[in-house]
This record gives sequence, C-alpha cells and structure tokens, in this order.
Amino acid sequence: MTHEVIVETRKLTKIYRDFWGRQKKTALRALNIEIRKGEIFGLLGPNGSGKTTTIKLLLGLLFPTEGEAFLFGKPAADVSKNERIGYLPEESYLYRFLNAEETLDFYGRLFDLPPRVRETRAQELIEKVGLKNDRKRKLREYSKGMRQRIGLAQALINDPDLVILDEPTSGLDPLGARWMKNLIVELRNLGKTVIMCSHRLEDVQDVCDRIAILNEGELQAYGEVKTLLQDVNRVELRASEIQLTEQLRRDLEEVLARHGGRIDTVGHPTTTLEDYFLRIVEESKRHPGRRYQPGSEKETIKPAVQSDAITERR
Amino acid sequence: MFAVITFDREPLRVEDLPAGIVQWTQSVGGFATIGLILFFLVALPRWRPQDYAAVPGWLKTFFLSCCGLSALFYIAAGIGFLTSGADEPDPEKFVLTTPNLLLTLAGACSILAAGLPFILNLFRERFRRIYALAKLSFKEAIRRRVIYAFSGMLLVFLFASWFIPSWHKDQVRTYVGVVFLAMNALLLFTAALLSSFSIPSDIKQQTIHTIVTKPVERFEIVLGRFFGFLALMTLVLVAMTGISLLYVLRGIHPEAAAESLKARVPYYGDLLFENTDDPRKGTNVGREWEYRDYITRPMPGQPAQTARWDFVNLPASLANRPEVRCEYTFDVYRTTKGEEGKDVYCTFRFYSWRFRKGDDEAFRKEREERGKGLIEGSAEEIALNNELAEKYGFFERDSRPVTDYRTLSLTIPGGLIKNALQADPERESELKLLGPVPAPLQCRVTCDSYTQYVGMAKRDLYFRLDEREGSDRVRFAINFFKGAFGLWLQMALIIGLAVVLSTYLNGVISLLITMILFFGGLGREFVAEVAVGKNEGGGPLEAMVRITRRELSGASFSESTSISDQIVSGTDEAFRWVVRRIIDVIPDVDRFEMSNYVAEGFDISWTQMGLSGLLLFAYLAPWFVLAFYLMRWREIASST
Ligand SMILES: Nc1ncnc2c1ncn2[C@@H]1O[C@H](COP(=O)(O)OP(=O)(O)OP(=O)(O)O)[C@@H](O)[C@H]1O
Ligand SMILES: [Mg+2]
Repeated sequence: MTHEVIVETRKLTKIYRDFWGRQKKTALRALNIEIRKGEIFGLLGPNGSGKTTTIKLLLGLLFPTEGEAFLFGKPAADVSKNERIGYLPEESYLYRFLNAEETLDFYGRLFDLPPRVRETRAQELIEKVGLKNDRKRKLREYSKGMRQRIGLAQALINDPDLVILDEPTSGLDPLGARWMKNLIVELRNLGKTVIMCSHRLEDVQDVCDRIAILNEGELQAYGEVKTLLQDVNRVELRASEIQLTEQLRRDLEEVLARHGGRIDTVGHPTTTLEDYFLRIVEESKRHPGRRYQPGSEKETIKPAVQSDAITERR
Repeated sequence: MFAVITFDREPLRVEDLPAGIVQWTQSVGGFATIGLILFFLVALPRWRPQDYAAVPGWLKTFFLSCCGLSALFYIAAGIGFLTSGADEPDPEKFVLTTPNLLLTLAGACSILAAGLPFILNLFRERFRRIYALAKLSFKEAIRRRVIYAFSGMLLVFLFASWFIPSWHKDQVRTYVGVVFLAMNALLLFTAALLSSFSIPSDIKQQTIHTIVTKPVERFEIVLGRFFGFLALMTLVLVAMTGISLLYVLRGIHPEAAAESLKARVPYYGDLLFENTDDPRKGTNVGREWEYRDYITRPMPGQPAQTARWDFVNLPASLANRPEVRCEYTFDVYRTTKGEEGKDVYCTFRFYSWRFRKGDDEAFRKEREERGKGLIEGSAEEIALNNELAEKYGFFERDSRPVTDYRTLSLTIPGGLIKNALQADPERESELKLLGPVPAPLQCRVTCDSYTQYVGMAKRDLYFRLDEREGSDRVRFAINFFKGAFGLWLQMALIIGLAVVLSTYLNGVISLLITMILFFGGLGREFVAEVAVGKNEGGGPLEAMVRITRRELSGASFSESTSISDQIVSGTDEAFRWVVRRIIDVIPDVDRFEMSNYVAEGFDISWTQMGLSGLLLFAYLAPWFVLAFYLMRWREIASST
C-alpha cells in the first residue's frame, strides 16, 4: 500500500454560530488526520460527535472556523476537487420527482460527462445497486433502502477516486448492510479511497483499515483497526470435533498454568445475530415457501457463508 | 378610432445610449463601491494568511489598484461638486461636467474591481451543467403541476366577452387590454412564486448538497434556475399569446377589425409652435392634463398661430410612393358651442427645405390651371400633385376636418419628399447665410375656426411608413407577439430578481421584495419625483440652513458666492445624487410595457425592443453579480 496522502486536515475546527454570530456549539475541535490512498477510513463516534460536520468541512459545504482541510492537495473550498469525489449524504438528498435513470443522467451532466458515457455508466450502476426493475419509478415512491442505493449509484457516477459515505448502512436491512459493506471493500480493491462514518461499530470493524474515534468534537483515538483492537495479553482458541468436558477443561488449565496464564471463559461459540439472520434469509431463498422449524437447522443450514470479499480480508 | 399613443415619457432612443451608459456606470459603480467598502471593513479582517495567499498576485495588484483609483476619483469628484456648485445638467442635452466625468470614472474602477472575480468565474462555467440545472428546474415545475395555474386563463376567455360589447369603436383596445392584463397577472405571479421558492427549498431539503459537491460552480445554480424557469415561462407565454391572439381575432367584430386591427409604423417629427408666446408651448387652455398644447385662429390682422412639425431624417422609401399617408388626431377645445356635429377645420401646409418665398403662390396658380376638371383622387390628379410638389417643394390641404380624438388622415404626394431629399448646395449656402437650415420637411398646421382651440402633441401627427391600408391581420398578429415580448421582459425581470434574492433570503421574503421592487417600478417616476424633485428651498440641507437663518427664500445657494453656501448646495447636490442612485435599484418596469402599442394599433419597432432588452440586461447584470457573491460566501450546510 502506498502512503500517498489524499485527505489532510490541519487543526480543523468548526464552531456553529447563530445568526448574530454568537457561538452556539463547538462541533469539531482541532482535528488533525491524514487519509491515505487506497484505504477505507472510518470516522466513528456517538450521535452528535461531529462526524457529519467533518465530512461537510471536507466537501466545502461548511467553512472551517479555524484550520484547513486539503483533498488531493487542494483546499476544501476548491470546486475542481469535486471531479474526483463521490459523496453519499447522511440521508440521500435527491430530487424526488426524478426517476432513477433521470437522477443518474442529471448528476452525470453535472460532471460534464458526454452522453454516451452517462448512458452506459447509469445502466451499469443501476444494475450494480440492484434497482434494475425500479429504474423508471420516481424516487418519491422508493423505500429508504432503495433511496440509499440510488444515492450510492449517484455518488459513483463519475468513477471517483475518493468516495465519502455518511452512514452508508443506515436504513438498510442486514442483507443490504452486508451488500453495502461488500461494495465498499470492492471499491477499495479497485484502488479507490473510501471515507465512511458510522456509529455502528460492527460495520466499521468489518471493513475499515484505519479509524478515527470522535467524541464531543474531539479526536479520541486514531490508527489502524487491527492495532487498536488487538489485545496482546489474551489468546483466543477455537477447536472443532470435540466435546467440552470437565477433563478437557482441567487439561487446558494445566497447560495454560505452565505458561503462566489462566482461563477466562470456556464455552460453545455463539454465532452473531447478523450471521444467523443472513443464514435464515439465505435458506428461505433456497427453499421458498418453507417455514423455519426449530431444530431442523442442523441438517439444512450450513455454517454462515461469509462473502468472499470479507473472508479475504480476515 | 382613437388611434394615438400618448407618452408621458419619450420612448427609448439609440441617441440616449451614451447618457444611459454614464448613468449606469455611476449607479452600479456606487453600489460596487459600497460592496468594496463592506468587503474591506467586514470580510477582509476575517481573512487568514492562507486565504490571502490563495489569491493570485496579479489579481491582488489589479484589485487594489482599481480600488485606489476609484477612491482617488471619488475624492476628486467630491471636491469638484463642492467647488463648482450644483448645476443640474439639462436632461434634454447630454453634457458631461468634470465632476460627473470623475464620478463615472470612479464608478467604472469600482465595477472593475468588484466585477473581475465574477468575470473570471464565468470562464469556468460549463454549458452542459447549466443546461442540466435548467432542465431540472423545468421538470420540477412541470411535475409539480404548477402549469395548471394557467387554466385560470380559460376563465378570462370564457367570461371576458360578457363584458365586452360585440361592436364598439374601442373593441380592439378593450380586448387586447383585457387579454394582456390577464396574461400579465397570471404569468408574473407564477414566475415570481416559482423562482423565489426554488433555491430556498433546495437548501432546506438539502438537495443542494448533492449538487454543490459535484464540480458545479455555485453561480451555475443561479443561472440554471433562471434559465430553466425562463424557458418554461417562455413556452407558456408563447402558447398563451397564441391562444389569446386567436381569441382576439375571432372575437373582434369585422367592422372593428377593418378599422383598428393594424400595426402602424409611424414616422414622427418634432413639434414646435410659431406665433405663440413660447416656441415650445402653445396656448394654455387650462386643461388639467398638460399633455397637449393648443392653437387657435387669431383675430384678423394677427399672425396665425401655427403648430410646426419638423421631420429631420426623412426615409428615402417615402419618395417613391405616389402618395404618403399622414395621420393626425387632435383634441378640440371649444370656447363657443359651435354647431352640433360641425367640425373644426385645420389647414395643413407642407414645405420642403428648398422652398422659397412665393413658391406657394406659383404652386397654387399652376395647380389651378392644370387641375381643372380632374377628379379628386384620380391617377391623373395624383400625378399632377406629384409633379408640382416636386417642382415647388410645397403642398397643402385646406380645411380638413378635425374631430375630437379621432384619427383622420390625408395624403401628400411623394414628389414633395423627392424634392426635400434632393441635394441643393446652392440653396443650402444661401440658407446658411440667413441662419440655421430648416428641417428637410416641415408641416405647418393652422386652425381655421375662430374661438375654437385645437390641441396637439408631438405624436399626434405622423407619416405612415407602412404602405398598406385598412385591416392587416398578419401585421397585427406579429405586433401582438411583439407586445408579448414586453411581457417576456417583465417576466425575465421578475424571475431574475426572485432567483437572485432567494440565494440569500428565504422564499417568502424573496417573493415579497421582488413584488415590492416590481410594483415600485410601476410607480418609479412618482417615487423619483418625490425624492429628488426640485423644490423652492433647495435640497434638504439648504432648507435647514434657511430655517435656521429665518429666511424664506432668496437667491439660490448655488448661485451665491459665499463658500459656506456653496458647500451647502454642493452637499445637497451630492445628496440628490445618492438618492437617484438608490432609486436606480427600482426597475424601470414602465419601459417593458408594450401592450398599449398593440392596443392602439401601433407597430413596436425592433429598435425599441432591442433597447428595452438591453435595459433589462443592464438592470439585472449587477443583481446577478450580487448573487454570485452571496452564493459563494454562503455556508450551504449551515442552518442560518
Ligand atoms: N447547522 C448546525 N447548526 C448548529 N449546530 C449544528 C449544526 N449541525 C450540527 N450541529 C451540532 O454539531 C454537533 C455535531 O453534529 P454532527 O452532525 O457532526 O454529528 P454526527 O457525529 O454526524 O452525529 P450523528 O451520528 O447523529 O449523525 C452536534 O451537537 C449538532 O447539534
Ligand atoms: Mg451524522
């Protein structure tokens, strides 16, 4: 991985003011981060911690009170940087009286794309986000998830080098969220840089290479997910084709004691609800019309099938 | 029919362009200066070193030197005004006094400084993006079914005819008036509504976020909105004009159509009076409306009061016609009751500039001899008239009836024009010795009836440049669309204003201010008169000084030699200048009102349309520059 810096902020600060110029809220305080080419960067933090504010500052939708931000070496207020950026807003703010095709055509024109390129990209993207059957429907008829999908398509119409996603998985069902996460990883694999913000930790953990954690507008942690989360004082072990007996437990304790450690917990692994949900939906797709029967899962449901993209990463 | 168009103001002329440009430069320059001052006081102190560094060096140099020059010129102009005193320049003649010139230069420098970033930005604008944004506005309006509002026009069509009599001499005027009024109200209100709410709702619903994060120059959004709505409303206007025209043509009684469905192309002269107290005025008969001046037949022995029209730039095309039609519409003011139904009579005499004393007698004599037995209006008679008029440079029509406010006509032979257009260096040098050479063609009108007064204004007598007689539907139809062009200009004005204002203000406020400016524009003359009208005691400061000195009136301060008086009147002059600039914020809507030409059956000239278009552009351009800055400095995602 190269270390070319795509986005850089220097002491980026935003204080919201009211009409009379009085200070209302310090949403971001002296943020210094660097985002490198080809990585998925996560902005993490509770509600109101300044994630959206940061993104809007990067895009020039807000002007910094203090400090500055550079994207591709250009200041955030520079319009030409937008040529290489795709942005999915927190809620997809699109024109509801347009249909999917018109939407993509409209945004394509804003990039001054020639008609033929617009046409083919729009069709590709509609297919990619799975709206092929709904492409002639007006966006006002779309569900939240569908709007999120067309929003993503809109962000990719210019084949951007930097994709900025504000809460990309919000409003999506687990299936959709997984699809979105796969897509994000796919974008990274194509050499694009992705910035996403979220408060859903599992999303961030699944896909992000590096993260910044914000709270009350202040940077709390910043670095690679792996190193941030690695707990070097603990060891995890999973074994298969074996029953958990008292004997096994005692043996394990003995071995660990010899190495100066001790057992915290021993038990059967539980799957996450997400995996479980995905398995069920998968199953119902394979056997339409069949209802889930407790106990029958052993024979029919295979261990959770994780998407290739994500397994690759692990 | 009463086919005369009255003007409270002269229509726009190409000759007024230099004065207009100077005034524009001063006004816009004044506002640019205010903008620059605000920039230096408010915006610049907040700039950070990196902001300052981001501006290219040559731009900084250019900007600062323009500002410096502008300041110097303003100071010089200020000193000029204080010392040279206040002499209001004659509005008729365009003379640029030194302080005025300095003011203009200062304005130009400020415009350059404030306008350069805007101009530079224009180069970054792309047609495809503006087109996309315009198309979006267009679609939005259509899909929101705004257009259905225009079915309201149907009501007018359905019910207007109940109130308009089927045959009446005013029928064309009434029909055209009603139809244009309805179109005006519907179109302008819809245009205002559409355009003042579009950008604010974009910002409120945050749809603008996905647009400004594309490589879109923010000003393109303003242009896109403007052109989108303008295109839409233009289509609606064309459709409505077409339908209205059909409605008018169908609804008009054939007799009314034959008389007034026209589009005359008039050729006007300048009116002067002879043998009255003042060459610019006739006799005042005490009518309240001082539009017309009156002449009468004086008692025997006194010289005849004469209204004289001077025709200066004679169109050569008239010379080749056997007969040139001259139309006149006068007002009759009776001091004695006269016989019921009996007309008042006037005599019309036409003189070429080459006319010599005695030519008229010679003309009459030869006409008498050779004209015997000729039937009036026959080809032979016309040929004879032509020959004689060309020979003598004279023609007359005696005792033509004048009926109150009715357009009547007479013809003169084209030969007279031929005579007037001939080069005659000998006669010219002869005349030059006597004084200024008279106008190529003059028409003298005298009143033949004692104790009756005939009132006339410049536009009450004209030659018809168009040849054909009677009803001409095609030319009327074209003129009807030309009249709609005036409406189009008003529409563009409203859309432009509303879009510009809505870049900073919310929808309701934008709508309100647009309306105020527009209606203010309808009464602009009145506002201007109240604000800068010359009154007895001088300007506000002079009046105050007079009050403290307890003098009621005296010599005007501007003529006084005392320095303090000079300064007072100079200050007042500056005050008046400022007020005039402020009034220039109000659009001159009157200039875009052309439907009265259609109603009265006068052709709207292409020059006038062009000049009105130019005026609109000149008015809107500074507003758009303002919008450029407002958009650029607006924090799109901030709630305030
Ligand atoms: N336009 C605004 N005017 C005033 N305050 C604002 C504005 N926008 C955001 N804030 C404040 O700034 C702070 C940070 O907001 P921001 O939207 O960046 O949070 P966030 O991290 O994106 O939250 P969430 O997870 O809910 O999306 C909040 O306290 C919010 O109230
Ligand atoms: Mg947010």
